[in-house]
Amino acid sequence: MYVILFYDIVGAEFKEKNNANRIRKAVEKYLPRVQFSVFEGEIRQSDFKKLAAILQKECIKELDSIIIYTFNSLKYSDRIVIGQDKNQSLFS
Amino acid sequence: MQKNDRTHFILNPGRLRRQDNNIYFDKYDDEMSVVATKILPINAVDEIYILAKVDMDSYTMAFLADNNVLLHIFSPYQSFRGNFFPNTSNSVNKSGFVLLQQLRSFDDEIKRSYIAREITRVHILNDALNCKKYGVKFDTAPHISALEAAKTIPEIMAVEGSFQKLYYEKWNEIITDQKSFKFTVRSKRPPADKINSFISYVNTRIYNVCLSEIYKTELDPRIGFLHEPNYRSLSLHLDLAEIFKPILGDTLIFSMLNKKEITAKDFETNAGRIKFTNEAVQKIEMKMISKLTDQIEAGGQKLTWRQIIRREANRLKKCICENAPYEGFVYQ
Repeated sequence: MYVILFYDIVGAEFKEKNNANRIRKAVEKYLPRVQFSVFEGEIRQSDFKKLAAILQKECIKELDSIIIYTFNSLKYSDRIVIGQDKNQSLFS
Repeated sequence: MQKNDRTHFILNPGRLRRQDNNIYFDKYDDEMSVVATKILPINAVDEIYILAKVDMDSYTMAFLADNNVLLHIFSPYQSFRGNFFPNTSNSVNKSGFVLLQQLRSFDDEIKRSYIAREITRVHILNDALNCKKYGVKFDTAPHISALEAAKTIPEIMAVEGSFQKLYYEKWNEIITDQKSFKFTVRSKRPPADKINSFISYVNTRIYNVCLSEIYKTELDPRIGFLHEPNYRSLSLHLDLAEIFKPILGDTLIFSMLNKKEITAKDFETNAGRIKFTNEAVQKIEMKMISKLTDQIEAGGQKLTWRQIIRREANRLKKCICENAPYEGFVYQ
């Protein structure tokens, strides 16, 4: 299962609990980072459920927004990169 | 976009460290100063291959062990150095019964030669199918009949050796680029020419895949059947790899050389030792991963190649423990 995830987390001045770091750390454990708030990569179905549950808990529903696209197959997709490609998840 | 096999390759010198319960990789330049930092998602990695000089502390290794991540460590010349297998409940709670049965079947002359003969038979058949695919004539009948006549392990090894020599001679008919990849003689430690170093690299990779699949079953990789468990610490994965080397490794070598994806420029020679450049390693590994994640039909199920290797190990276990007839995997 292939996943593209991106989020906008509102800064600390609008709410008492700053959850940006907690959400970032949770996602970083499951998906490789492509841009500052964009993650994409292969993930297992079970891992995806775990991640979604963590995000459900950490997210403040009124202010934050997290959007996830899931793909079962990438047959109809084409990934075009202009400039630097930071998603070299296999090699370092 | 590639499919991931849940492996990660480290090709540049750097440092692995633990931070935020996650693994960070700091890439070094020549003066040991950090140029880039990358986060490896711990839940999306099963194995890490280290092919460069990497600093690591025991704190990081303990964290990797907690998360069941296998480390394979290679020398700068891409020869296998060893692996770090996590000591978790998964690896310790091995069944004593299976170990005892494995020892007994090893001591049992008849059963041991039965398993060894079957592995060699499947190896010969898979090699012959490879030749057939590339339109090269190869007669296996004398080898198969010699194999059936062989009683002891040294005799089986002798059949296998003489067959392998003939098979490698056929490579000159399959590979088109004869100028830089002519096969003369198989040489190891270190490989003497480019084709030998290519074979060695791909074989090492398949050994490691087989080893990590054996660790997931209850078998003990220290006791092999075809290969004598002499001074090498592990030998069962060599047996298992005999079946899959022709299917996964040799076809990869043929197709990459014939499509000119690997040419003579992809090798670096230094003081008589030959190694791949980092770009060539990336090219080979991309091919290897797409091969390992390929699904094929086997026994009414769709399985990836990794699952097929594991199924083969479980069949071997069944033969050892329950005296079930063992039949190796022949790729049609």
